[in-house]
Amino acid sequence: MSEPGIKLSKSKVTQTIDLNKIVGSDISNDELLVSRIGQAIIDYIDNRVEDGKGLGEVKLKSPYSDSYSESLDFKAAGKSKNQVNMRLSGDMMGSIDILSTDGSKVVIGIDQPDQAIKAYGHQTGFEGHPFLKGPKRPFFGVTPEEIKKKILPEFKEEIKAKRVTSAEEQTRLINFIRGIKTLGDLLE
Amino acid sequence: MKMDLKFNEKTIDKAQADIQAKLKEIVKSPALLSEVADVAIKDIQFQARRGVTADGNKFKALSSRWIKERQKIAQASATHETFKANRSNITITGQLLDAMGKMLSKSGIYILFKGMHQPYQAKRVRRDGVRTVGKRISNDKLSGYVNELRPFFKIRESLLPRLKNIVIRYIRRKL
Repeated sequence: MSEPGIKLSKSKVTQTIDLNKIVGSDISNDELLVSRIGQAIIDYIDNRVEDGKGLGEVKLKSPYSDSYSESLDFKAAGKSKNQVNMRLSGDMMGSIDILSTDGSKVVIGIDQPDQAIKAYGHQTGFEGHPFLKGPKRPFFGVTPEEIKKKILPEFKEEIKAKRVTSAEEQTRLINFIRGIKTLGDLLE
Repeated sequence: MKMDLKFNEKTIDKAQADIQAKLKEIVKSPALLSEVADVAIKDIQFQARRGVTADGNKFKALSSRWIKERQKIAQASATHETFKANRSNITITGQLLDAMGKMLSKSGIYILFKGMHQPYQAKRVRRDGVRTVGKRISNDKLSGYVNELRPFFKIRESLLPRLKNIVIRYIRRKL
């Protein structure tokens, strides 16, 4: 299944979602709400994948291959052969982020090249990889139906309120955290 | 051993004055600290069981004498699924790494080792039965000895993007 708005490359995996089209009213003035819905979409993808489901709640191909499930990395991560959840270290799923917002449009995705290439591989069945082969597991992205049914009910009242809210403080806080360069600067 | 996990206040002091108070409030949130600790614990366990240090180097190899002893232990004790007699990955039964836990404190959160490490059973060579290897020791104390030879109790630098993302996601959910 491919969803409009999903773009895949080896260095960046993104989905652009115009929330106005899905919400059915204009929320483009409420930056904070757009950002919160964007985060809720990421949280939803995270939980959906943990349940072994990908885009459109389609079950991700299971089980894992014999060779992968016998590997040290697989065992060290405490994974189960029949529970496909796209997590080994957890770095790839943990790297899905809001990359930008513009009015009611939100772009979610992975722009860390070392994680994006993994996501690209899983989404495409390791297309173009010199030796790795594997099934397609389209774990990334969300359909308009999923947003309507699973995400928007939580924001019903806020959507009705039609506020004009700036996300300036949130953006500044996030940019400050993004700017931290070393682990020592983040944690004592 | 324990690791005091708290956000670097000196870094936060460098933020512009009007967002400092908010940042300080956010980084003291028990829910956020707990999420960071969970990820750190899981990652330390994962890297150690893969046999690598936080710096990405392989752990020091096991001595041939200890490998033989581990073979005998494996014949009499239930071993962890990542165990191999000659694999240096701080794992036989898995007790030590599984004993990692977190504890909330006034200033932040600790990652620590809970409980006691039980001795192993090993198969006797010349006659039937089993013998005991090692003694009952606190996981806290044992972690210190083990970490001296095979440094595993540290958060890897490459976990930084993920930890930052945890904070960012938290800010978006809560603000």
